[in-house]
Amino acid sequence: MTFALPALDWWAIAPMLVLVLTGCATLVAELVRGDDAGRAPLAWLTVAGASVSGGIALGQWDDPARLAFSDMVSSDRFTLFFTVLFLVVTCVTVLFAFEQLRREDFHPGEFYPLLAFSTIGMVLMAAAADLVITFIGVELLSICLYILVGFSRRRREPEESAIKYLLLGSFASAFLLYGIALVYGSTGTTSLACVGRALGAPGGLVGACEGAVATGSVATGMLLAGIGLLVVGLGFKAALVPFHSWAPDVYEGAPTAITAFMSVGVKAAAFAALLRVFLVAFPTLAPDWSVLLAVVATVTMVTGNTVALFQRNIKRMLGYSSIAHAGYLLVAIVAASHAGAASLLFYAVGYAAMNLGAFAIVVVLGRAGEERVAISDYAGLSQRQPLLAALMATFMFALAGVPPTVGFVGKFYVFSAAVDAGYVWLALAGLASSVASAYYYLRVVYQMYMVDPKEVVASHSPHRWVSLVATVAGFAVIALGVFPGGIIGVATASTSFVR
Amino acid sequence: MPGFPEVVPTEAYLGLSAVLFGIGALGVVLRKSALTMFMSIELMLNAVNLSLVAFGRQFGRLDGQVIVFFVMAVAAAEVAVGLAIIVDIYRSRRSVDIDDASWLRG
Repeated sequence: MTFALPALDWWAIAPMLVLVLTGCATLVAELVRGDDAGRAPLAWLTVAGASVSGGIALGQWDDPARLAFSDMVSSDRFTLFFTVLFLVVTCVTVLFAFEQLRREDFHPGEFYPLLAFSTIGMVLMAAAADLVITFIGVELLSICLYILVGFSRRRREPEESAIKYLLLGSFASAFLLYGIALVYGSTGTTSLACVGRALGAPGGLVGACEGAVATGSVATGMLLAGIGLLVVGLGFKAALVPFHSWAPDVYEGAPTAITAFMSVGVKAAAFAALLRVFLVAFPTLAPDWSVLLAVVATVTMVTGNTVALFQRNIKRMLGYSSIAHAGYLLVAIVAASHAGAASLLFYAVGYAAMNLGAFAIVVVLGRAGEERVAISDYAGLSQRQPLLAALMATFMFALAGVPPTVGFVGKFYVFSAAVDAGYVWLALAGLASSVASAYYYLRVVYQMYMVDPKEVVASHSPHRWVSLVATVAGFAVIALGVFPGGIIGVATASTSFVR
Repeated sequence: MPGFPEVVPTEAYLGLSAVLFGIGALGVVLRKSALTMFMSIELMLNAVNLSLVAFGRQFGRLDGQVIVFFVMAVAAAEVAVGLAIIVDIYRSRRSVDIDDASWLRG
């Protein structure tokens, strides 16, 4: 009796394989060069690995969309789009961390492998063609983040953040897993496309679907319970209200680099997974879940924007602001249309540019042993560092959704997709809450331009790389706002599986 | 034995699993020790494992049990990291009670 190895489509997961190798290489290199001088090569090795991985992903753009590894992962433009976005976020995080950890004189080499592995988790979440892979992606990402959140020389706050994220994160994972079990129990399969077919969705990339129940014979009650639990599990990672209580504390306590990584990368990964699950597996149930998600989106936007009004710490303010932006992104899923999915991808890119830019300024203004994250620390910044102040103002205007920035165009696409899907009230609620959000974003601008500086600040290290990130992000925020066509075209091509 | 079914029906396993999951969830919400909360989360994961195996048996297929292997591996990794964090907290403040600090302020 002979066993034939199944044909493995290694090329389909090549970007992830490169990241695995990068993570292992940095882990070994850290052991070999244990001293502090050996840290810089680790950062560059991670950036190099991420660049190779991103290059492969770009090279796969014209490959035919297909399922690989027994229909477990899908290699299509949606996966590649998010892969490239995650890799950019990871590279930026490495640059932030490199400057910040060196300044704090606390620079353990484990940081870089953990970051690489959590990036693989994010890519898996976007690539998942099976609920089991979604779960493994979420867990790989989360387990690495539990450690990264507590990564600091200071003990108390990061420790609190880590234990809080750990306990609430694993609690949410259990709900996600129960949801997966109930979906499996009611349809006989965990493959997203096969669940979709059992529910009567039109084809697309479907695998063998052995064991799936016949179309129309699904246990509906159990399935709806499962969908609800999936919303809880993924909503926690995306920081949707009412599953957001961890986010502000964790964002405040974590190192700023990790806060940026979580508020952009992890959020985008959670929405990639939500979009895959809901629009591949459950499109035919859209009338059932879209009302639920519309209510969650409204509560998320209103809560995030309202509580952000009262924050004095800029990391905490950006944390609540990211909750509000999760609400905007959820509006795109509620639309349950091709235009909605494309607008989600566009908004994810625009949000990455404006939020990473804002965090870059936060990193630059920090000093050794002192993060300087009170909003009043920004008083008079325009007199001391006019370029930084102008960039920060750009990001604040973009986050508030003022034209001609990407924030305005992104919100326009998202809300018009909601209107096309018949959710006029949802679009109006989003508009109203984003108008209110202008108050707290512009308060930072007011501090920078209208208030005199409290003290004369000694000049500090220039942070070349982080300043470069801020400049590029500022350019991208304006350029994407004026010429959104290119990214919209790519986003539309990446979501062709949505009908 | 008259009155008892030959084979335990899937619903019985699902009911037990739901009860165990509920006990675990209550444990996370009500208990104050980080260790007990963590054990309650493990109980929740294992309750789901019971459901998965029961479904696998109902469908006469192995994939439910294969998923359980994945869950066990993931849970082991989570325990390793979680206990490390809890030990670290214990070292710095000699307690793992979440009431000892304003930890879970909203």
